[in-house]
Amino acid sequence: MALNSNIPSGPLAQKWDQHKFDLKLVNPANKRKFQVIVVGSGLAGASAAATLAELGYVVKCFCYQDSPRRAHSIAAQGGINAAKNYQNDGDSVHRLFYDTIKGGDFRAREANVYRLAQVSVNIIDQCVAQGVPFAREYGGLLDNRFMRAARRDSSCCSAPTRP
Amino acid sequence: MLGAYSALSRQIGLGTVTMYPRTEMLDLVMVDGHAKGIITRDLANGRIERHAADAVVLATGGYGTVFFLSTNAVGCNVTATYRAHRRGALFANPCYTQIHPTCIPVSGDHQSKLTLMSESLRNDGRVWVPKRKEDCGKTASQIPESDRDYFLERKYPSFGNLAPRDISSRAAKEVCDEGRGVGPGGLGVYLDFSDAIKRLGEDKIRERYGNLFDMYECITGENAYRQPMRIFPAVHYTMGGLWVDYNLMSNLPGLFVLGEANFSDHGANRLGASALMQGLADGYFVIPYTIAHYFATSKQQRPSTDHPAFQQAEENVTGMANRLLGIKGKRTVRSFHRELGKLVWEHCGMARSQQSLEAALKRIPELRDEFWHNVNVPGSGSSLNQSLEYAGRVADFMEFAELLCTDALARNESCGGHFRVEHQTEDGEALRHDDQFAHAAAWEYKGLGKAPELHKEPLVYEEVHMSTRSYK
Repeated sequence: MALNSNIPSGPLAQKWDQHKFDLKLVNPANKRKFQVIVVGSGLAGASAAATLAELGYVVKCFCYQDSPRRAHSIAAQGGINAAKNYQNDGDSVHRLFYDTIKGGDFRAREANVYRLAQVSVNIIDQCVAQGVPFAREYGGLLDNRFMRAARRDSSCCSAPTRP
Repeated sequence: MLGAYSALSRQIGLGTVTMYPRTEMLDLVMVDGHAKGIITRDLANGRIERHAADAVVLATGGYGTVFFLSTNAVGCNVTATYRAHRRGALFANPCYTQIHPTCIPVSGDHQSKLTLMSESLRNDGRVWVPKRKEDCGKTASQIPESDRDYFLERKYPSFGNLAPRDISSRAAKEVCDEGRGVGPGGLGVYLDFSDAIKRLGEDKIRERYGNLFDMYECITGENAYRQPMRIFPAVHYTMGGLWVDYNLMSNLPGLFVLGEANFSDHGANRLGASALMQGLADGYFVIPYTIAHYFATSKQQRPSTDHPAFQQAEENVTGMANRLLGIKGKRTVRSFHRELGKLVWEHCGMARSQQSLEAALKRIPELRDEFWHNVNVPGSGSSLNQSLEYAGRVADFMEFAELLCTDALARNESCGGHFRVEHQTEDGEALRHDDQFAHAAAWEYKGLGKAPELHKEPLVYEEVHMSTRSYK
């Protein structure tokens, strides 16, 4: 069996944008003809089920808990990484990408990690739009703190540690 | 999680998502080489159901509970991904497991889970143990500053107490192995806030971490404003998972794997606060694009649930349940899980060696054999039966543990969370062998008791230069 990772060609920073353009689309009117099973309702499962449903697919979501809210992801309250650079301390997509690759001891797939760092910026906006109660500074700006083994004073938005 | 949950709830309210809580996936259904459905069991009434779809997305988390004690919820399990593995999905890098340095130490044999103290505590807490073994019996306040060893600050001056998880955990294990651990059994190190309290005041620390200090006090009965916390590493996250391509699709067309369940983004060690980032990135921003491409290009019909593949998978599920119920042995499922977890923790935990892994690989099949002859699963399959649910999950762990150790044995180098004692530098840091192991190891299931087949995906770095990690 040959493993094909299907990593797009082109420069690292442009792979995902180019790939999104190259991927085939489903006509919005046809989306309701496709059914998707999502197993698990934690961060990955709930966000996938909600997004796919909002796009128009017919989604069935399964979890073994009493309620999707009981997924183990609810325990994750320490914070979320994102290359937001709110504090102007030199954070960037490339730096988050590099920290993650290095932190993983150079055993992760480069293109996937770069994409992760790129979309991290969108996640915070998405969460804020959904009303996630991030910790905030007195003036209302998102609170940041140092988290990911990087020598800057801050590199991530903190999540609702203080409910 | 609250954001994703409310977004999901909104769609459930709109009728675009049908939610099946208390329902466990027990098999994956493959039709003409594509993933087209699942078999589930309703945990409340035992009903087995068939569900067909155009694609299946697994977002079922990691396998940390193979160690029995971990910071994961007790219900976390490997069943969904392992059963997909048995249907042909490759399992990649199972040996990459993360041991979190900041957990409340084990207090006795009665425990069924461990509690994580947030990593953020290491922003303001200083980690230390006594310099001399003889001082371990004293209370922290009896040990003067000059007799304390702030070992993370000493070994990693530039990153100090915020050194990455694998590094910090191993450093804590080293000082405990030297006999300098604190607390019952010598398996703990201090996380001391007294300097931060002096600098910022107790109120500020309470404002930042009050919930964690309260939780710590509820569990240990100790006030961490007055005396240092005691912490010890514990299993927390698993970087390995089902192999996926750039589109997050496994080698089985139509089977997508997201979040902790896949292997793709964290390499051999995950950084703090990156699990949320990956789970949400996969679900919100990647799968919506890539699944459309699969639909637009595969042109596969959605099968009816009367298809023989559903019949066969359902028989597989009911057959396994009947077999478990029919054993009527003497030992509880939990006692097997506890024994397996202890075995895996001791032989394939924070430090691994050829010898320990070979011993585990000899013992696991024996334990599995005993499980299938001597486990006691009371009740029936046609009603609520938590022993049966648990037995199915532990049965999968009995096979998965072997895969985990096989991978750890094959990866004859140290990297990230995978530390082979044979491969370390003079200072005890992990020693990688990029010439031989710069690949993802994806294992193919070949049948129970048969050696899995290894497929390698070479890791090619175009942009970054592979260097030795140093946090000194």
